[in-house]
Amino acid sequence: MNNNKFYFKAIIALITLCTTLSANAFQLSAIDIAQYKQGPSPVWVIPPAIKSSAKEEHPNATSYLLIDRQVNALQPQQQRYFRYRFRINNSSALSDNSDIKINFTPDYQQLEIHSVNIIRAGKIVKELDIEQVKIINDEASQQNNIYNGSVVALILLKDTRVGDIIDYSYTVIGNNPVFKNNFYFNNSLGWSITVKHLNLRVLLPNELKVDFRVVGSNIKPVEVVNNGQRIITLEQFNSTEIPMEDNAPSWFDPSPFIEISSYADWQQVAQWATDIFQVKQPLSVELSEYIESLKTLDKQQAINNAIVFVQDNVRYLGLELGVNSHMPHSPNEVFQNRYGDCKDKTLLLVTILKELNVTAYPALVSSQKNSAVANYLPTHSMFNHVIVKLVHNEQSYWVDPTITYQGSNLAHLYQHNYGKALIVDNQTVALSNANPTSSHFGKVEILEQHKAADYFSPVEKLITTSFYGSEAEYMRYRLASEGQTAIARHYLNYYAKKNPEITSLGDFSVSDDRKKNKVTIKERYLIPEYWQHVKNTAEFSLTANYAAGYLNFPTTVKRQQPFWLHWPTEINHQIELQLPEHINFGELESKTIDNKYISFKSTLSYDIRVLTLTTQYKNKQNFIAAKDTKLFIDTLNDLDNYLAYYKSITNVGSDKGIDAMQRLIENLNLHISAGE
Amino acid sequence: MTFAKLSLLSIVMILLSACQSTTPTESTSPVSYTNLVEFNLHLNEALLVQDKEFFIDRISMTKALQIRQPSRSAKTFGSNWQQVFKNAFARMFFTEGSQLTWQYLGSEKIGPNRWQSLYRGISSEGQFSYVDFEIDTNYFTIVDVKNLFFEYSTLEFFAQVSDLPYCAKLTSDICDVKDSFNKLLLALGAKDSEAVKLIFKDLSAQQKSTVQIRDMLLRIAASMEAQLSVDFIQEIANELHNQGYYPTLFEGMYFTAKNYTLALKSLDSLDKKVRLDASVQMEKATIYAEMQQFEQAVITARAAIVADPNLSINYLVLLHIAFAGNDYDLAILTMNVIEEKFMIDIDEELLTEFEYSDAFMKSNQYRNWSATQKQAG
Repeated sequence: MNNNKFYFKAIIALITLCTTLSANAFQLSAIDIAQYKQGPSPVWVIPPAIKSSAKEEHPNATSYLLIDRQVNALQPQQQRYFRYRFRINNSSALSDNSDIKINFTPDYQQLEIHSVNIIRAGKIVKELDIEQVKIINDEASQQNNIYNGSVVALILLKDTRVGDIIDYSYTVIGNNPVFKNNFYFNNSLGWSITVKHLNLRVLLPNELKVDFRVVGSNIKPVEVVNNGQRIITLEQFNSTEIPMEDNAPSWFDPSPFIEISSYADWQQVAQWATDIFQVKQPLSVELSEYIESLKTLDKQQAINNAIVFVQDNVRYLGLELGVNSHMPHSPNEVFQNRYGDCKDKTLLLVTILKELNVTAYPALVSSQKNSAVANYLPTHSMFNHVIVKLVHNEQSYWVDPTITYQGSNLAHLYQHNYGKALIVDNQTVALSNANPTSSHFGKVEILEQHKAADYFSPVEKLITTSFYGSEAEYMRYRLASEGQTAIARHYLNYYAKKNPEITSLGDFSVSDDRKKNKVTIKERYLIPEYWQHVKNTAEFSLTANYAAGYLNFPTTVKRQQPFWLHWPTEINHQIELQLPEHINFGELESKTIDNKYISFKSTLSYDIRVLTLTTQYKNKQNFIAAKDTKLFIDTLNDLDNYLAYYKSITNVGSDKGIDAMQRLIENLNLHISAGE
Repeated sequence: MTFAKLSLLSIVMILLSACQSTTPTESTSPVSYTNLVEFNLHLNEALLVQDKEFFIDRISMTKALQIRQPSRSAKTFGSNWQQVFKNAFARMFFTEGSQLTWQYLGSEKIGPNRWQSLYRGISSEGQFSYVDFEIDTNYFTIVDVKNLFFEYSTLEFFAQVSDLPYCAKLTSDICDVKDSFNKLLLALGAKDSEAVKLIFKDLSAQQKSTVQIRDMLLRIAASMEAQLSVDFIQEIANELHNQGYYPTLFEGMYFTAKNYTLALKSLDSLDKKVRLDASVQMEKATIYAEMQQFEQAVITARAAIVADPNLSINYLVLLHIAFAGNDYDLAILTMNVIEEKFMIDIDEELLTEFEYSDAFMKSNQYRNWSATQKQAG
């Protein structure tokens, strides 16, 4: 079970946006104020020449003939023009491309649709009827408890056919005032399929100093300064296909891109952020009282309590309307309402910690780009999350106030490694390393004890699983959301795949030590088909393969791109089989694999009637470099041979009293099934 | 205070159940071992067949004691102390009339090349004891032995005792209770029960709460069972209860006094690795049966049998529980195992030895079983 991946997908889902008010109330207000109209393309737009040939080949389901994107930032109200022209080549593309969705935020943007044409055999057969446009909620955001005021203009195309060319254009007018006069533009120059023609054009006032560059391509943008305008253009034909290989790290982006930024450096970005994270009001009476109650505790405990309070008692809900897309709500408001998004919860926690004389700052991070934010020009756009950096006893901690079900002690709190962060503070001049120095591992320890009274009766299996760090937090979350009974059932069915007649004995017990950030689960089963009998032998297998749930073979073996492994995790899985009698197993094999990615050890040992298989696994890196794919596959294949042990014991039928013993054990087993 | 070497050595012998000194024997050449299991199987065999020479040959406790107190061991115990010590120690396991059947139960690592190997000893009456042998796997020698019913291992105890004469010069925990400890040691050596009672009475609460006095009291209770009254041993036990200790040594006394809750507590005070052993589990099962908690008794008995399915005495105890709980089906199944697996004939004479067998012997289940046995026989 790859809990790690699931866990972080959940994190990413939470942090992409913020939460809402009552959904219905918001729906009405957003849609009501949504402004859109139909009109010709703006006069400043220069459409590129379209070249087409009857001999063109269309190997993909959809052929992207033109992407035209032009930005006019000469006025405070920016205008962003888009035009897309594509051909539907087969029936699968029909369903994918027969509706058009345009995102915009009515709070500060208007939409002007210029044209939506269906072209067949060189002629326009259908044009836009403005009545076709429906404004709907941005459901993707709302599913994540985020209400940012954005809506979707939906245009359902009618009578589209294979071979048709769809050509539509629109302009979104207006920009989020939270960014003030700062400007950032980024556009990809490569996709998984070829774009026949890419046209980019950005108009900027000459007095606005910008830096721009192309990364990953030799194509050179053209810059022209004329009449107080700076015009940056780039035209690309037949972009190279850049297929995305399976399981590439989220921060890995092989696509070349162009970017333009008005920020001179990260210091400017930090100053922008510091300004919007200001706490301008005095603290409310209620918040002050809460802080006073924390001051009666020793500092460590006060910090712990403050973190637990913000994480567990302020629910995640993002109201990101207007400037609040990036500007947090006041700590007073968040404290009173008991809801907020990542920046709201961060600012509340930072405010509380500062009142406790703890050094604390908001820190902008990217859950997807991770350290790769440093690969971009300074910009506000690369960050999609905010956490807290606090310093206690001369050690830095990176605390995420949006994560629930964490431990209750700072020393054992799981700290996600975001790689790089921008500390929101006027003293910040550059990105900081945001690598936690401790508590960034997840760990699982499994102890299985198999007890066999003979070679024929059901074997009793006791399992104790201890989760630490991120693994404990994930299990705590599962227990809260799914419930203990459902998880117990899930575990039973998992074991039943190998042993269909398995029965559960007694309670599936859970103990949770939040101070040590440790969750322990105990299970107990009877397995009738433990021994496989072939003639006069009893065969058995010990499978200590919990780590296998974290290791997947890449689908794409001939790789050009790195392969994501998982976050730092340690798995120790031990199985002890208590046999009915002493058996001489002779020399038992151990195996060690130690390379730059994985440390693995499998040990077989025996001590009077107890055979033990122990596997210890730990990853040293989070991803596999493309050039090391073979090494990784060889490692997995090798490792797979040492996760289990198979053996048969001979002459089991010659023991005295076998049948009598079986009948006695059967009777005794009824008592443990009934008595629990 | 000058400590008499002879008296100390006498006490050593007494505590090790030594009756007489023996002539030191030459040791045989050690056998090389590839692993600890192999060594323990050999040691177990030596204990079972009473191979004292092998045992003595494997003891290097004297070396460990010498390492700890290099200048003092000869002074304290005499020039021939090593061999005398070994012999006296060997008598713990090879004294006629008090022979236990030993079984190796497993080992755990306690340090570099140091392991603790657990052994269970059972008497013919079913009484059990547990010892840990500390093994040096560099040489496969025994460097210490601990009876798990006491606080100190043998080496630790003797190190404490040999510190006594030097309390004026060194700081050792034993020196805090030197006088009381000395007195108890002399009384124990002389098997003077009256002196023990008087000294015990004079002990302060703080002295009684030290691990040294606690260990000494346990050794006195174990070694002087014949000399001390049950009431006084109960008094020692009560004192330890007040300190929150429920030593396993007193389990039998609690059981006899029908204080089953304390009997269970005293078994639960054992280390986890021992608590789950077959003998301890079966003892608990017996207690549950006496408490008329028959279902719990059977569940616990099952755990004992799964823990060691080859311990025949446990099936006899299970039979007793089946009779006490009037579970005749279980009784029949158990009797079948006793006969078929352990080849022990169950006849009426044997059955009448069981406390609650009367009703069973009048039951249809028994009549049918008997008839079947006769036909098969």
